[in-house]
Amino acid sequence: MNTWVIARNTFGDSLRKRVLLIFLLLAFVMLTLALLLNYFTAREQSTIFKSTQLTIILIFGALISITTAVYLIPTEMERRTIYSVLAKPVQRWEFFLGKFLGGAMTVAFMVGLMSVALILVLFVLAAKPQTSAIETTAAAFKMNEWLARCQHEFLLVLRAIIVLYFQLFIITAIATTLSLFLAPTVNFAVTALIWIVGSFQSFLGLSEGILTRPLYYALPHFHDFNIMGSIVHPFAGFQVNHWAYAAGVSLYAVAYALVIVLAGAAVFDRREV
Amino acid sequence: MAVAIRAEGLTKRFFQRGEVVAVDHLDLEVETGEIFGFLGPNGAGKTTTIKMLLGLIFPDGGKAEVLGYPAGAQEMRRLVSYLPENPYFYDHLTGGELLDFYGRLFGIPAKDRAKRVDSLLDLVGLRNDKAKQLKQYSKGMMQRVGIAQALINDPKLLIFDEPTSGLDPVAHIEIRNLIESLRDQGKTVFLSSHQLSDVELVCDRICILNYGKLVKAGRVDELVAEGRTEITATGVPAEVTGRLTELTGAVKSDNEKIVVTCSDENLVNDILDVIRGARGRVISVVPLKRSLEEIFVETVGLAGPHRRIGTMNTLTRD
Repeated sequence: MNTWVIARNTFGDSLRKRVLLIFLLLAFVMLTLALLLNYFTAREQSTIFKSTQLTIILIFGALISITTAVYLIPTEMERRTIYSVLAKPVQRWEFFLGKFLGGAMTVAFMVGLMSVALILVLFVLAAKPQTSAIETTAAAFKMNEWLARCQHEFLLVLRAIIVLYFQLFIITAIATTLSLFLAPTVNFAVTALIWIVGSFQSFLGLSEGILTRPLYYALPHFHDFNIMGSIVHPFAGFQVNHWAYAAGVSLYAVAYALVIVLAGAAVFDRREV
Repeated sequence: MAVAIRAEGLTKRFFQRGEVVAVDHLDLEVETGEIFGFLGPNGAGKTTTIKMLLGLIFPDGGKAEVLGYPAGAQEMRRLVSYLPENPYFYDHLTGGELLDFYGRLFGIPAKDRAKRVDSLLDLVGLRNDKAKQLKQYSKGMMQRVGIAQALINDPKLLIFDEPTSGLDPVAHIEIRNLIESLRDQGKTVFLSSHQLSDVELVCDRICILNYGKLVKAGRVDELVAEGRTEITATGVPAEVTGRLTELTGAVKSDNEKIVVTCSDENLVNDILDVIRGARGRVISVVPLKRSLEEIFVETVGLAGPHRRIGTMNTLTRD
């Protein structure tokens, strides 16, 4: 119960942070700029638009989640607001978990706003005739076809956003826990590095070396969250159940974040404030 | 009388460029229903002690109990409230929302919470500012809302760290009266303050901390009493004045008026009998008192190295 009260308060507090609003504004500017890719056909434009926009949401989502999480606990200490909260019948773990969930809610809200913008633009693009570059014949607008395309696009983007969000969920957990040990700027750099290394684990060949294998297992497998291919080219014939895969990586994210947050809560339990 | 706070050998060390003993084997007992003044110069270890009592930091030695529970226990925090020095609260909230937030942390049901928030805002004179964001509050208003949040759970023990800091004289008196009314309601108040005049007026007992050690403790009335009485009278004949001088050794004459200073309580009635017997008129009988400020300065001294204005403070222990 206290966890939820603290999470809600953290959410309200975080939303007023100017730096997050600046990131959000920048993301919207870039989302809008991508609309200027007008010289492609509707299908090509939709494909390029989705891949660009999902990348923008991922990058700005990561910036927002790290920036939010690295300050969650340090700001409480610095402003001394933590004293009056922990002097109440609030368990340390409730406070820590509440701060993390508040951060995660902030990220969800920001990603949600960006996603709404993306989906709305996709609906507009879906209204154009879905021709390829060599089929330039104008086609009449048909409401039923448009609604079907909207539904299709919506489900695709929803799946992508869910997977993308759970990636940010892990990032938020890592940055929140590291904030117990590191100054915000160092924490920002370390969390960003973990995200980058985790995203390129296969490329870096971490699973192959004996020395790097423990790192491979310890670091979050962010590369598994990259489902861009199946979203951007939905008809390419990937032989997997996409929703089951999304659910699988989301569960992995929740489990990974839980372990990290519980470890943080255990440390925070004996931390002097 | 039951004990609200008991500390035995409470010790806290910090390691900042060497070891600093912030609280040094502190023994303390605060009785229920009293206002207890917790005094000491800056860096004496007052806030550190309070933080240990609340479980915000952990002692390196000794133990403390609050309302019968180990210091910092969750059950204890349900019955205690705390107003930090220079309180900072979530300034994105309004005054009403802030109290509601703290009320939720105590699990107070929504209906009771709403009533309690309104009555507390009334009590501290912020009813009309309920919907104003805290970032628009003045320092005095912040202090008042801090006091209101400290009362949200109807606590048995209130720990106030400089509750009148930043308040104007009228608000100052209101808060002092509020503290006294809390005692009248049977609550215990643990008051850490530099406002020695307030402490002298409201506290039943005090203790003075210096360099983390308890250096003086006792009832305020006993500490400030000098044990001397000053009797002023007129119309006393010269030969009687001589007798009074023999009795007390301290008589001053000023025209018609004489001032007799008596350091033996048992002699006061004898002196009055002598004056009245000589048909003199007693104007006043005043037990002489020292101020708490005098006692404080005498106890902690004026020239501690960390208290000199304009020198580097190397002992930041609070």
